Amino acid sequence: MQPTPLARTLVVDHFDGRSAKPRRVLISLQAQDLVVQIAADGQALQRCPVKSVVWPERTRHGARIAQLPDGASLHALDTAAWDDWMASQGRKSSLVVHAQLSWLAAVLAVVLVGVSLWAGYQWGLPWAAKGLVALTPRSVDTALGKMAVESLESSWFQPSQLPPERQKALQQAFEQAAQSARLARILPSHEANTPYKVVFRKSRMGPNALAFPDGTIVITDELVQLLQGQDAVITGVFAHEWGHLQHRHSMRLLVQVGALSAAASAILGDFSSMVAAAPALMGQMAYSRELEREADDTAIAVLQANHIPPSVMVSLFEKLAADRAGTSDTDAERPEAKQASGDAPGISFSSHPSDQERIERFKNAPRSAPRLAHTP
Amino acid sequence: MDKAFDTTTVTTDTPAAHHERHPVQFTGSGSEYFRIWIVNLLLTLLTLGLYYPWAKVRKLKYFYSNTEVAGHALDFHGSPRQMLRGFLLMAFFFLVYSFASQASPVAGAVCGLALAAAWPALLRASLRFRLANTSWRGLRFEFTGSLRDAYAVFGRAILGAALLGGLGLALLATRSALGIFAGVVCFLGIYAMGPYVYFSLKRYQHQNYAYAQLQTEFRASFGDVLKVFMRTAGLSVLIFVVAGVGLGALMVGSMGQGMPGGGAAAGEHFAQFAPLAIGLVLVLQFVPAPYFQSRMQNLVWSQTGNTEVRFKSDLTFNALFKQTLLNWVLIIITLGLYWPFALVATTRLKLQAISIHLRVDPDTLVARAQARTDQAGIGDAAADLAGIDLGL
Repeated sequence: MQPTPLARTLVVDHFDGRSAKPRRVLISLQAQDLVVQIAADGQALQRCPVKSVVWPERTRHGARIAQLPDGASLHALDTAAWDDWMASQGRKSSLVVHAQLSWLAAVLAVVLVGVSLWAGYQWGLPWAAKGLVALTPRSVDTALGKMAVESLESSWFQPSQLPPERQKALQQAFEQAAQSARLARILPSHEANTPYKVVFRKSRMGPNALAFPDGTIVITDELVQLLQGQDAVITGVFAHEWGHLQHRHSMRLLVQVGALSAAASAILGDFSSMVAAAPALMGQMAYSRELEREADDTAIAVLQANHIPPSVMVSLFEKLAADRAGTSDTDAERPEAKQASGDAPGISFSSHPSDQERIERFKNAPRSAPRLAHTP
Repeated sequence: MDKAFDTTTVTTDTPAAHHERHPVQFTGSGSEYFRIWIVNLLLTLLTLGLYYPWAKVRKLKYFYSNTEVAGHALDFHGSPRQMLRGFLLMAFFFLVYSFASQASPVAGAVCGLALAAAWPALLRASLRFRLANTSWRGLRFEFTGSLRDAYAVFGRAILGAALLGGLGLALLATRSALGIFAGVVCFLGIYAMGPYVYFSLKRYQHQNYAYAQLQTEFRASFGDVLKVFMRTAGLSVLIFVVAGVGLGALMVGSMGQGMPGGGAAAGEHFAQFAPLAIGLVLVLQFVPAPYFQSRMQNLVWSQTGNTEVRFKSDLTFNALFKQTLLNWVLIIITLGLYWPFALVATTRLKLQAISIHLRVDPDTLVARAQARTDQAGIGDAAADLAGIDLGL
C-alpha cells in the first residue's frame, strides 16, 4: 500500500516495545489515523488513531519520541524535520508549549508568580484558614488548649502569689466588663458569648497575658503588679485576650502557618528544606500582627462599652517598654523572658510587634462607640 | 540473593567481540528549562497545586529526552492524570502530618512514626514506578527489589543500633575500666549505623535495576562506603581547624600591627580583613558536600553492573565544588530564579561523568515479561514528599 500523495511522510525509527532493535519506518497521517510503514518496502506495519498517540512536546533541545498505545514508540532521526512534519500535518502545540518557548511569556510568568505568591500569602491563606477553622469543631480547640496549658503549667507557671481577695476583685471586674459588653450589644452575639476562664500565675516570662484555645486566659502576677492601681488597663488586657478567644486566633494561626509551611516546602522543598522553613517563620510573625489588630479592636469595643477611654491602654505599652528596658540589664533572674514569650503557645501579649502602631489605634479610638444596629 | 535470571546466558553472538563505551550525553539547556519551570510553576500556583503532576511530567520528560546513551534518549511514560491521584493522597497525609506536628508534639511524633514505618514501602513503590515508566530504545526499565529487602535495609540498622546500645549499657554496668572502655566503643559503633544504612540503601537500589535481560549487581563493600564517609568527616574537621587557626592568626596579626596606633586602629585593621575571612569560612563550608557527592557517585556507579554492562563514573570534586559554589551565589543573587539553571548545570555535570560499557549489542536485547505495577503514581508522589532522591 502506497501513501496517498496528500499525506506527507517522515522517516523515523520504530521500536516495537519488545526488542531494543530499531526499524526504519515511514509515518504519515491518513484521515484520523497514524500509519506506520516499513521504509524499505512500504509494507504496512501498524495503524492507530492519532488521538491515542502520546505526542512529544516541542522543545528547543531534546529528542522527539512518540508513544503508541501498544507500547511501541517512534523516535525522530532529526528533531527539526519532525517539528516541520508535525506542523505540516496541522498539529498545533498547546498554549503551555508556546509559553515555554517564549521569553516574553517567561518574563510575564515571573511577574505573575510573584504576584500570586504575594496575593496568596496576603489574602488567600488567611481566608482559607478562617473557613477551615469555622469547619473545625470546638472540641479540637478545647483539647489543644488543655494540652498547651498542661505543658506550660510545669515549665513556665507557678501558683499565683496575689492575695485571693485581689484575684477575686479582678475576676469580678472582668465579668462585669464582659457583661456590659454583652448588654451593650457592641459585639456580635456569638462573639460576646464566647466562654472564658481567667487564672493568675506567677511566671518567669514576666508581665504577660496568654489566651489558650480551650478558653483559659492566663494573666501573670508580674503583669498585675506592673499595672498596680490601674485595673482599667488590666481589664483592657483581659478584653484583648478574650478577643483572641472570640476569633479562635490560636486555631487560625495554627492552620495558616501549617498551610504556609506546607506550601513553602512544596515550592522550595526540592531546593533546600532550610530555605523552605523561612517563609513559615516570617509568616507567623506577619499573621500574628494581623490577629493582634483584631484582638485590639475587641479590647477597644469592650472598654467603650464600659465607658473606659481606650487611650488608657497607652500606659500599658509604656510600662511594658520600661520593664523590658529594665530587665535587659538589671534583672538577671529572667534571662529567658524574651525567648519565652516567643516560644509560648497560645497568643502571648509581650510578643506583639510594632507597639507604636497599636498605641495610635488605642489613642485614636473614640471614647464610646455607637451600638450595633440590632433587631428587637 | 536469588537473581531472576542468569546473566551469563544472554549474549547471542560472540561476547568478547562486542565491547563499546557509551558516554552519557546531556543536551538540556538552563535557559530553556528556566522557561519550562517558571510557566509550570505559575500554572501550579494558579491551580492551587493541582497542576503539579503535569509540571512534574514535563520536567521529567525534558530531562529524559535530553539524556542520551548511544544515540538514543530516555523517555518517561507516567501519565499526569494517574499521578494526580497519588499526589492528592500524599498531599493529604502531608497536610495532616504538618498540622499534627504543629498542634502537639505527641500527635506529630505518632504521625512521624507512621511515616517512618511506611517509608521503606514508599521507597520501593517510588523506585518501581520511576523505573517502570522509564524507557530506552522502546524498552522499559524495571526495579526488582522486594518489599522484604526494603524493610531489611532499615531493620538491620535499627537492630544493630539496639544491640550495640544494649551491649554498651551492660558493659558500662560492669564498672571495670575495660568494661567502660568497651562500652564506649559500642556506643561509638552506633554512629557507624548511619553509613551502614546508606550502604544498604545504595545496595538495595543498585542491585535491583533491570533492563531487558540485564540485571545489575552491586559490588561495593561496606568498607568502601565507610571510607568515603570517614574521609568526608576528616575533611570537615580539617576545614574547621584550618578556618579556626586562620581566623585566629589573622586576628592576632592585625592586632599586633595595629598596636602602636592604639586599639581603634587595630579594630579598623581587622575590619578590613573581616569580610575576607568570613568569605573564606563560608567558601570552606561548601567543600564537604561536593566531596561526598562526587566520591560516592563514582564509587556507587563504578561498582554497578554485570558481565554485559558496566558503569564508569569519574566525577571530579573540583568541578562539582565550583558548580555548587556558583549555584549558591547565583541563586541568592537572583532570589531563586537561577535554580533551574543550577539544576540543569549540575545534572549535566553528574550525568556526563558517567559512561556505560556494553559487552552486548543493544539490538539483541529483548524485553522480559513485565509486571506493570503501581500505575497510580503513589510511589512517585511519595518520593517527592518523603524527599527520596532517586538520583537517576
